[in-house]
Amino acid sequence: MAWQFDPDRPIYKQLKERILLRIVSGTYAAGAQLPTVRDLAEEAAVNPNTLQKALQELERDGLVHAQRTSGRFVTEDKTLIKQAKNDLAKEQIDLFLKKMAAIGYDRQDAVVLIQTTKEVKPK
Amino acid sequence: MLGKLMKYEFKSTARIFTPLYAAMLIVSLVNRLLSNRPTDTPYIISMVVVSMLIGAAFVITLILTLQRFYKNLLGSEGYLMHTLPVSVNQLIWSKLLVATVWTIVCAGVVCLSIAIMALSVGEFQAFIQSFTQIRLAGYDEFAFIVECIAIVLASVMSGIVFLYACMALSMLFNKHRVAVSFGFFIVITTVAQILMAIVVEFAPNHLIGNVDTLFQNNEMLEAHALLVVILLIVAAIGALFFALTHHMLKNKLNLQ
Amino acid sequence: MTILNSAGLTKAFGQTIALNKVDLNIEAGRVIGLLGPNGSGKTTFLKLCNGLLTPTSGSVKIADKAPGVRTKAIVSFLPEDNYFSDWMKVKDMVSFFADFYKDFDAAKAEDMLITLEIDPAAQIKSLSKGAKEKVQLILVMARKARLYLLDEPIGGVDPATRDYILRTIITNYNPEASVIISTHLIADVEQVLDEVIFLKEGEIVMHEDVDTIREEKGVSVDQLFREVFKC
Repeated sequence: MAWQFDPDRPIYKQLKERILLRIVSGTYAAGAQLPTVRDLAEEAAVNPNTLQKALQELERDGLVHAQRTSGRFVTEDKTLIKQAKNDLAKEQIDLFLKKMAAIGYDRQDAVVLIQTTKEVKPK
Repeated sequence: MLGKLMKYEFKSTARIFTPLYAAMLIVSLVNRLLSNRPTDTPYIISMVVVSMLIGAAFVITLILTLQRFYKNLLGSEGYLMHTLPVSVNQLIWSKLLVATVWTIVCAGVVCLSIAIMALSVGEFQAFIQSFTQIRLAGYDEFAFIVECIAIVLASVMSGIVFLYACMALSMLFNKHRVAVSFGFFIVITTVAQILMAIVVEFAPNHLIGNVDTLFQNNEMLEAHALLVVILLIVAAIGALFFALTHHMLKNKLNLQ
Repeated sequence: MTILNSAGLTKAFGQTIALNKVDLNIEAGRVIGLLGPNGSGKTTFLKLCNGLLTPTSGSVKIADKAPGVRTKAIVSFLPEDNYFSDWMKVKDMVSFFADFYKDFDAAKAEDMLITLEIDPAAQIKSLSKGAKEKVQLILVMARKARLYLLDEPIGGVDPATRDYILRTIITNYNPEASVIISTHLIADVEQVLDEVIFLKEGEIVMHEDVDTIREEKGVSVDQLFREVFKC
């Protein structure tokens, strides 16, 4: 299935986010080899150049590195990955809190709601 | 590339020509077999059928030649043909050569049909032998035959490429191209006839020679020269229409 | 390297100017969307690129050569309508392409036919409209050309085939080749494109990277198109 993208943001940024998500969640383990640009572009149904751009940004951030002949690999630096994971989580929390504020709940209220809301167990 | 184009040209056209000419020969044979009783209905019917087929053969050959060019180079197939890595010259030549071959085959099949029907075995043999017996003084005979064959070939090809040019010119218009092609045919033929009439009117008498007279007077050199001149004129006319067709297909291509 | 270059390219049909002084430079390894409403000159431009039309003025060059026999060998063109002979079978067309184009990959074509469930022994005449378009697309994409010109490749096919076509364009990607897709179904192709060219009444009104448009204007190309070409 082709990946779906928001229409109003650059695709390469969204690709970067998706791949980052796969890295921090462990789908692409630390040190593991990433799929080739060709395969990933086909899976996502995106232009290979756009995907390259996303991967280059991840390289620049140190989360991915390229071996000349064998392709791209996730960094082995678990601290860096943990850091990225936390940054991602913080972004989501900020977004969540903003939304709660729009509803009318402040941080305290939000925390209480989280603790008292029953967890919906996945089936 | 030209060879490949011709290969596909033959493949496309043989599908219709081969059965057509085969049918003609078969019916001629049937007619022949029935000819022992000339007043019987089957014989008369097959006679009629053969006559129709002979007339049809030429007409169908002509129509198929035109249709092949029009459909393949000016119709939607043109999107395929004109994007092939071949030159416009090759496109035109492939069609022209194959059409010429079919025209000659058609003539041959017609002759054969008539021969099958009309001649007894003895007459048939004599007919074939007569070809080997056209005799003139040795060298002249060979040259004469070559010149005649060349003129016939050049005339057939010039005629066909003239028709191609009429169709190619119809691209100047967007609609009713078949009618426009026919229009160009009428116009150019008329103009050519007027020109011919003017030339004949004003040209000095001795240029409009007569090959027979020259033969009679044993003016062989003049006879050959005349034939060669005729050949060159026919070839030049053919070249003119070829160039016209080429120009239209290369520079004024307008596929709908 | 530049795969396509046009300078002042103009085409007039009588009094109508279909393309007006188009200046364009396309690098190799790009997937370009040529977008515009019907009659904006997209097909005219593509025809000029493969020699089906000659310019009224200006020029267009493919890999630095004017359209001719040599460029036709490296350009693969998919026209909007079918161009098949009535009598040929699918496999005859495959042989035909293999015969004339050195860069044609017959094995690849046969694979694609299997994937799209088209019987090579079928008479082309008997195929449905959608199947004919698939065959035409397969023949075009099975070539290893330097420039692919696709005129409305996804318009007449079902969504599953549409996906297949876009996936084929992606997997065919080659840094030395470029693809120009002329379409008005922008939302479907947007994420496959590198750059887009907006053509309005024969003139280029925009030529930009897809991501730059999204970055700077905060809208998708599809949305921008609707704005620019509002009725």
